[in-house]
Amino acid sequence: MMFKDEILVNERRGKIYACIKRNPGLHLRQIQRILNIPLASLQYHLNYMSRRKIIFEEKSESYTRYYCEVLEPKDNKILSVLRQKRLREILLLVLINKKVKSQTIVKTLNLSPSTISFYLNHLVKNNILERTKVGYENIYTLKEEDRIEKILIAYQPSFMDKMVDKWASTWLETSLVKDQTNQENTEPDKR
Amino acid sequence: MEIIVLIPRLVFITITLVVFAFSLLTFSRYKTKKTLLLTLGFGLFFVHGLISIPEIFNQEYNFLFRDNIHLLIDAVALLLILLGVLQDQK
Repeated sequence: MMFKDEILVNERRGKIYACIKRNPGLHLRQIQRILNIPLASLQYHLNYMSRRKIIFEEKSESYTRYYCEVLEPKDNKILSVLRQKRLREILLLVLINKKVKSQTIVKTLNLSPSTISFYLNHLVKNNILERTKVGYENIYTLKEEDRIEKILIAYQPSFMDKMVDKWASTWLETSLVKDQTNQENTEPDKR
Repeated sequence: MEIIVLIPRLVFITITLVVFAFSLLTFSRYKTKKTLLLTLGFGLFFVHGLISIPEIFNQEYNFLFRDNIHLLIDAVALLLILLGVLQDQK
């Protein structure tokens, strides 16, 4: 039986492995574009490493994505949070902007401040976001950016997730009317 | 029991099960007072459907649950859902 290092001695295979390690969740065509390796050869090496459990495949409807490690138990906790659409949207916003104020999230997602505050508290409680108080405002940053990025790529919403998402947002955002009225009243006059 | 009564009843019980399942999944994800109240409300509707299943097969069972009891169960379930809707997010 060959060891991992022996398998990766092959230059092309080593390159593919390094590429997947740098960018977890890439699919075949993306790897081919990055490394400029003939498709048949790439497919062969991917299958070779996958069979020997050097890399892991995750098949979705349209793509097979490749990873160097399977998700750890800690990742599963994050994954369960990422199953919720609103939380995913907030995380993507923080991921893009690095540091985000709650007001920015309220404006971007067009939700009431209390609903956003509820989602943010949930993310802070689950150790996904970090809250820092600067003056009167709270700034939110991601705790483990790389890990969350990796899981976000790996995540594929299932039909059940979508249904529960819709159900949750219907009921969790029912106090909107009162909050939006309050928000409108507290907003400075822009005219 | 006639089929015209039996089928709609089974359909309604299935619907309450589905609604309860969604509610329970939402509660398991968020674990808030609001989702708990809603889950209890929809759960009560489901339990109400479940306990009326023997009635489909045995008419004598009907005597155990008078109309007022059915109304009371529905009222409590609706009250729980109302409290859930009115509950603020924390």
